[in-house]
Amino acid sequence: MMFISVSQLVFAQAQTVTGIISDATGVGLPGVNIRIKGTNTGTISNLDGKYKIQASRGDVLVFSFIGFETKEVKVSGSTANVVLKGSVSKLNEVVVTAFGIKRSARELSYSVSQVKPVDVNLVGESNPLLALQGRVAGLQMSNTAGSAGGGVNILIRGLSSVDPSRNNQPLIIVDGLALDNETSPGNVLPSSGSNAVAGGSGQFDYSNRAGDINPDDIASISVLKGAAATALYGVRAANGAIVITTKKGKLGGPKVNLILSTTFRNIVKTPALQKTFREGNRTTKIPGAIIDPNSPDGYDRYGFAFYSWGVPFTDNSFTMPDGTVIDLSHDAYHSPYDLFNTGINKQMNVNVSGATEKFNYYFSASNNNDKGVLPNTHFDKKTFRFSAGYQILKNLKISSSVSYTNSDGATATSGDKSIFSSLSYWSSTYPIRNYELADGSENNYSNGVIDNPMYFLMKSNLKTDLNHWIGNASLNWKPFKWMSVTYSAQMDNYSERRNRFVPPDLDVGSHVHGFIVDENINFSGLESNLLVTMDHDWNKDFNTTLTLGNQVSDTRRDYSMIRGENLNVPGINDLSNTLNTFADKSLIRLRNVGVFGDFRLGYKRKLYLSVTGRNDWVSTLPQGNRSFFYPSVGLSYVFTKDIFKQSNIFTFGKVRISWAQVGKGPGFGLVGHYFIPEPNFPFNGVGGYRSSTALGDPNIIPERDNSFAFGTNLHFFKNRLSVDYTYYSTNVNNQIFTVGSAYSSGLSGITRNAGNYKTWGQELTISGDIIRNSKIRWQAIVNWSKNGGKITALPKDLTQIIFHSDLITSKAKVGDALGTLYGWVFQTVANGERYVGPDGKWVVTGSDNKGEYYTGTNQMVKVGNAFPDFVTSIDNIISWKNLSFSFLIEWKKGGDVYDRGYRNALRNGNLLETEFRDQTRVLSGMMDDGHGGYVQNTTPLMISGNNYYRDWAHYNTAAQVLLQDASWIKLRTISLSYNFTGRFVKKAHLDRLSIFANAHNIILWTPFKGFDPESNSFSAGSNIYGYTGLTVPLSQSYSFGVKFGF
Amino acid sequence: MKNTLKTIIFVLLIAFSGCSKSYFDVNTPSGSASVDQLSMNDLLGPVIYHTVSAQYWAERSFGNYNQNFTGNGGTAAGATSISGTWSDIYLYALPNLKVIRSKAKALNAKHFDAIAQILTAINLGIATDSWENIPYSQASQGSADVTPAYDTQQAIYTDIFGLLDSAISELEGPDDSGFEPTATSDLVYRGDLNKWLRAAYTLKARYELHLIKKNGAVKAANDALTAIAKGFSSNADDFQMGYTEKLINPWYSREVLAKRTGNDHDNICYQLVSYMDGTAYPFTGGVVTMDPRLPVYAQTDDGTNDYKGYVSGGNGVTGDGTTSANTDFKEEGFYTSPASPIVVISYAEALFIKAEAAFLANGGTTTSVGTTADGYAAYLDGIEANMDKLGVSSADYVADPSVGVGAANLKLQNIMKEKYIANFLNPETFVDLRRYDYSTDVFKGMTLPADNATGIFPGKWIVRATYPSTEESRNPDNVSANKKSPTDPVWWAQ
Repeated sequence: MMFISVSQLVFAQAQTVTGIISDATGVGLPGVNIRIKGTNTGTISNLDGKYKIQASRGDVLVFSFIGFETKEVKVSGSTANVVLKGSVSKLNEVVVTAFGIKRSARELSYSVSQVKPVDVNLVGESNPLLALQGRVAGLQMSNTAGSAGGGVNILIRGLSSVDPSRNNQPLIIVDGLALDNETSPGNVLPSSGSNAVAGGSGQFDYSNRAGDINPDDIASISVLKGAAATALYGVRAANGAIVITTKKGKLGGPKVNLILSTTFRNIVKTPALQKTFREGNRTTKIPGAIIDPNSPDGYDRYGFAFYSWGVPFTDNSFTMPDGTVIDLSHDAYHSPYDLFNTGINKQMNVNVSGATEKFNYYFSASNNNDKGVLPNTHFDKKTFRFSAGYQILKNLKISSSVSYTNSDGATATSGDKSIFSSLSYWSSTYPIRNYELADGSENNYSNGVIDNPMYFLMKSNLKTDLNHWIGNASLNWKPFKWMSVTYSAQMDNYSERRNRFVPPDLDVGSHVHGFIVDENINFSGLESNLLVTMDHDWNKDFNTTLTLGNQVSDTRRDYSMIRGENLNVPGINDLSNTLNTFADKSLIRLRNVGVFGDFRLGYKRKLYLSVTGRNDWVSTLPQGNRSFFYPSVGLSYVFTKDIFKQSNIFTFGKVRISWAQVGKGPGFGLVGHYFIPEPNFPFNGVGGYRSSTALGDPNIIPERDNSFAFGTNLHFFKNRLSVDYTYYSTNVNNQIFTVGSAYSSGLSGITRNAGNYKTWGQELTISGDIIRNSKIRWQAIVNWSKNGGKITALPKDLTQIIFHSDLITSKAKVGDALGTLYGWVFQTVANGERYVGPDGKWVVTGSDNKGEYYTGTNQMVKVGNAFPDFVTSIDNIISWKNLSFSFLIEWKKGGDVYDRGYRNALRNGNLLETEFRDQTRVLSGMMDDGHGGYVQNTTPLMISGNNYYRDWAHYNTAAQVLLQDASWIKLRTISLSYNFTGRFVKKAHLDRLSIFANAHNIILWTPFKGFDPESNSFSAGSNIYGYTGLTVPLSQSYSFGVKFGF
Repeated sequence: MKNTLKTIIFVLLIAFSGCSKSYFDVNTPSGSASVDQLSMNDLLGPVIYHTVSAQYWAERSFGNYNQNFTGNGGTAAGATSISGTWSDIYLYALPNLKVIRSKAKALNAKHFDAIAQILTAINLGIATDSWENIPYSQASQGSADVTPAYDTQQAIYTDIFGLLDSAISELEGPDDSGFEPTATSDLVYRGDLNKWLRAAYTLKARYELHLIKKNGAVKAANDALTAIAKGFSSNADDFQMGYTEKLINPWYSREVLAKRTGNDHDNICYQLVSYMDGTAYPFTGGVVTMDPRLPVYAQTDDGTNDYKGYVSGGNGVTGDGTTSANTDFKEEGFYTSPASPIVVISYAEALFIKAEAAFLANGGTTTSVGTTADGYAAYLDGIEANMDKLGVSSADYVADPSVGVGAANLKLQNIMKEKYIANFLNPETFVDLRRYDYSTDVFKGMTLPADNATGIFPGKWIVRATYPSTEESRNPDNVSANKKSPTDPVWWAQ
């Protein structure tokens, strides 16, 4: 026997019950949870599947194990052997729902998807949420960039808030308590010299706090989609919730697990460049700069060097207008992508766990060391976690956990005046790795207009240092068999220090002679949950459960910033080295109290009714409108037995239907109008205030989401094949929105209730065993989802909602789908062909209206949509003996993006498509026939940098040039692992030994011409889609590792 | 059911959260104030700062059109929306001026009101001269009107004169309210109300003179003369705001700091250099070989006095056609030091207004010769005042026959050349050029950028700014009713 003996409270008639738990093939199941129904008393089966528990005759033992159907057995003797049925279908599987409440999937009236990292090889990834990528229908998850430690953007069922300034991230719940998952973009810009949008969400790829969790600590992740699933969580879960359950110690032990892995990362997909022409003036072709190691600044200069519109590399000389001949014989093409390194990630994970019948514990430590694909960037993360539970009394259990994460990183800039904007302009005439002159200053061919990206990386980045503590305790008391009271409280606390250093010779620091930004973010979040659950079986047909609860969430984000400008000694990164300092501070406090109730009625294990209600009090709403109530109702009906006789073909069928409402307030500090300190002051000893340009309607009311969902779950061939389908639609009324106003009103935006919109979608999951026998199992899971949405109403004074203005503008009018992109287009004639002017050029006007952009009523027209037509994936898990093999293919169909780097590279003559130059071409289209009609164009046009690729009015502002289809098919993951079972494992005193190899994103098919189109120009948490480029591109990776258990 | 639930819920709330109403009152942004907490002086500093900033952003583009400077490597600027100017005026200056004015009204603080009116007039002036029709009568109403209708330039000019006249009468009248701008918040005149009064008269003269095509040259000139008589009386009256070592002058930032570290900056244009190095107006007295202000504005790459300005749109070409242009902004120059001022309107300009108005009132035309003694004196005084301001000696310069031409020989081009030089980095030059349709009789040698023919507007000058894209997308109907090609002249230039 391997049980640890414990002292036991002896109750009347208690006896020892023992038994073996096995699966259908007779193999003992270790780690099965055995619980006496209605109490906290429980145990776990040992390695052979044996268990032992003190129970009274008449008690009901509940056997539950993830991946198997839960079984209940009434104690009638001293032995109870149990066979658990594998729930291939996840049909009767226990899933974790709101507040960590475990429910059988059977009774749910909404859709929950559960993913276990065990099934998903996360090795080499530092962010646990990536386990969900491609595995949950209706969940869109993307790395915002490929930088080490970068953020992950999550959308459940598309945009749920249209406000571009609000994020749509779901609520992250860990073991029943919420985790703050905000990204804080901060303010990392100088007081002058940057064109970037204030705040800087486009400047760096900030990590999100869910990424602080050690992926190896996670037992399961549930995705609660839709308002019905999250109704109990209230406002904060209006975008859905991701519910994470961590690993707990299991009976026996101590058990030690050690995982070691190494991952290599590379950037493979890059924009295709022309390799024929050197740097040179866009009209005269005069070489601006010739590399000359003997010159003090490294170059012989003949003009302004910026473009790649020069003569061919094959020309060995150039004759200047005044007759001087310049030697070009040493010129050659140098790939700017030499900038990228091979990134290396090393991970070490160790955990020790175990339990007795009264006490369980789990301790883990991990070290994750990531060297980015960009030189001088890294992300190092260390995590510790300790959790324990103690059964104080038979009906009272206390559990607690503490986790600590430290991460420090160095991140590269993106966006305006960044490494990646420089790279998009960079002329491949110059080797990018020769970034420094002998005196340590920047080797720069273009007089500083384009920074050398390598120099930028080596001298300037954003350093972050984060300490994150989470401590919580929870008490579970079962005063009666039918009643359980749980109280949990948590303190989530992190402090992050950030430092951005920009020396004076980088463009972005040039206006202030270099700058340093030191930011401090201190977050503390208090969370308190009280749940009272009353469960009663009225008779053998009726069961009711009533849950009442109270939740308090109180968060405080303290931000302070000091920016020092004008560096005394250019290379020293310390605020004391700056001559001018500026400071800023803000305090964001959010308070939310909710009370809720959840009533469930079960009838004959086939009909389940659920009614919930929640009232929230929210600090961000005006006093009078602060309290609001919203209900939900759901019905689930297992119709199999009523309609069909149990058959071998049709095993199970369920329909579910739900309606739910959720209310939502605005963000912090948006209601009302204030006067704020003028940011540029004090000035000359004078302080000053000015009217804020933001106004919030003082009578704003909560936004209401009304969601309807219908779904069905069908199983065939004894659960070998299962189908789950959901249709949902949500009407959002009185959406809260910061409506951009014309500055001439004196306001830049007004936060108010502004119209309604609707979203809808379908999700389908089909899973089945292609092969299932005693030796081999090949399971395939297909996910498919489609999502749509449109603006249904806007206030009279509001014609459209603008998400982001650029040459491709993301905005929507009434009737428009969410994510609609507008742009300028080529002028066309009646037959739809492009109009060609007398000069042989197309004309960009943006409408059918003939005329130049500057005059007339030209307006942008609808040119695309940022969201995909559908997303589908197939996950294959194949196990054969000790070998398991899996691969996940994901296909995103449709979705348009504007690559901001592409236009830079086009205008500068860097792209492969600009290789066609200095030749004439007759553009396709129709020209005037001289009699008011049109004929096929015959006018030849000289294609040149200035006359064509750089031409604003006739070429490069047209959406047909700028907007690209970002569809892709990816081999997202392929992984292979082998479990050693031979004698040498035992000889080495190991319980388990396995080795594995994974590859991520190694195959990508896409029509898109830039880097991997999956990255977003805006950091995680931003609500603007349809823009890419100027960010650290996504990489592919290969991981190798080994797991030991003893 | 629902009611039972609600009751239980309420009991629970009271039992467990124990929250009072004020528990939720945490939604006020830190550091914010209500309008009642602020005095007029608290608001004045930022308003002045943004008014000056509006002018800077305008000149950042217009200075390229004026050929004071070129973009990096000799590039000519295309159409611009000067969105920084729009934001400064509409988001930061006008709404706060409105608050000051309403506070002044409530407190019967007439002098403060006058100052707010003058600042309003300056903002409207920059705006209308840049975009022609602009929102004003319906603007700055906050949520009451988020798509303000536009006023015509003609109406705006009426408003400007109305504001200035009202300011003048308030400043000339008594104010015993006890509220006055302080020496610290008044970043321009340090609380000197007499200077504000003279500024109002000088501004009035400036705007009268803008209307030579509308009111007729003689009437406009006489109106300007009437006003200027009570205008600025010395360089100490200049309407300017100095920057500090901490909040550094933006021209210094862009043209000197950026250049010093090898970053993007502008170059000095050939047109300006040609006015100052004897090319356009050869010095004939034998003493002066160069305008002594040139080394105050500009410097050459090699530090010599052989200034070769960049031809606008010439990609590095200078006046002789070779790519040897070498002139940049002066490091630590008068306008390009960390604490340099930005001048909105100067005593020197006042004198050139007087000189031009006298010339026109005397029947002068773009090609005529001769002016009155007063007019000629104003011309010389203008030069001297400007040179005094810049700390260079004017004696030799005005003595040169090419400058001291005598009242009988004075041409409009002499006055406008001197005004062009004295108003370096002031967008008023863009008004002057447009008032005279870029006439080369008035502005000698002024030619379209060298690459104009291959650009979007061949053969045409850019003579206005376009409306910013935020305005176009958020106030579309009013913008489309008023938008014109960047090459269409504004009302007063028609």
